[in-house]
Amino acid sequence: MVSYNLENLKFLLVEDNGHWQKIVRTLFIAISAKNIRVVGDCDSALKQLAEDPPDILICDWMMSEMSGIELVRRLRDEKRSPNPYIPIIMLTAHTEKHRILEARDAGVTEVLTKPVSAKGLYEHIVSIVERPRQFVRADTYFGPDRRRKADPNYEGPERRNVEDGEPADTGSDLESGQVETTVEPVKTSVAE
Amino acid sequence: MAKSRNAQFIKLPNMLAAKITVIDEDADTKYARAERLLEQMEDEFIGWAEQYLRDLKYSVEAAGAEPDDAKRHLEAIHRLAHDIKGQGTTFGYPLATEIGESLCQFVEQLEAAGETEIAVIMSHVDALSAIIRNRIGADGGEIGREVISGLKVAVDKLLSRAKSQSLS
Repeated sequence: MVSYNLENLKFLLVEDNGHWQKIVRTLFIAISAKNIRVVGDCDSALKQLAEDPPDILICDWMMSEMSGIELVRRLRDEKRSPNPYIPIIMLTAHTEKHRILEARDAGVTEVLTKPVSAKGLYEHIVSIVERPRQFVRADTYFGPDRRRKADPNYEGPERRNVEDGEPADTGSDLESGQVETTVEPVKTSVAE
Repeated sequence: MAKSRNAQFIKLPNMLAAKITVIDEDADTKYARAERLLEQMEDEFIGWAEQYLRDLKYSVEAAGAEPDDAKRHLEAIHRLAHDIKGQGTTFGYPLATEIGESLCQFVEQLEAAGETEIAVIMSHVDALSAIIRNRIGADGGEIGREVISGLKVAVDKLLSRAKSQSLS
């Protein structure tokens, strides 16, 4: 895999367990991502996001006051969020499928399950930078596109074109509907 | 005619790509560096795990002594098991992760903790104590497999009994 210097990326880690703070910080140092700020609760994270926004947010799921999932939902609320488009990596020891789907539907960009490895952390960060997801604004969801690729064999519910009166089910979105592009083109620049 | 609602797709400029540079270092070098740093933290992890185990024993005793407040103590047990589950493999103790996971899944399904439930929880705690005390890394070999298998049998038996009692 191509190796990148991540020193110029700014990370914010939201984690209330002191041991996990140390573990994750150690992994960041190992992958040369030195610009990392750590906060112990979601209120501090929201304050930090407003005052000194990071490039990527990493948050734990299980926290005492506001959980990581609640933080994600708050951040994807366009009316209340300091940055609804921020890439979010959810750290969690939950591995059950319904939990992963819950995180996905809350609007996380990537889910990284514990035990965390340097490889997993690095690959998720690179994925965010090399292949950023487009965002989707639908009646029941705002957040990163939950599909990485189109599936021609998909047979599930079609939520991106919804007739009135039909329930919004869980399931993948299909590629359809109006496409909105920003003015600036996608920039990719990698120094030699 | 029914109205259809379309989703909007928003493509953002990739501002992060300009902040990274390719370097002449294999990604495997980063991973090896991480492994060395974590190995240096092993003693520290053992200290953390010993504290988790002390806290677990306290919460298990409290759950047994205060049945009216069992839910609160079970939540504490779940949280501690969740931490061990998440950290064990990181420091070379995957058996601790497996037992932590078994304990998490068991406790999640409990509303109360009678004698039998407490005994099953303590079996998990005792197994974790043995792993940490003896620094049993990897999967613990044949003994490790037997421990996991024994815990699974106890958990499955209790949960299926509880399920059939609730259906009758």
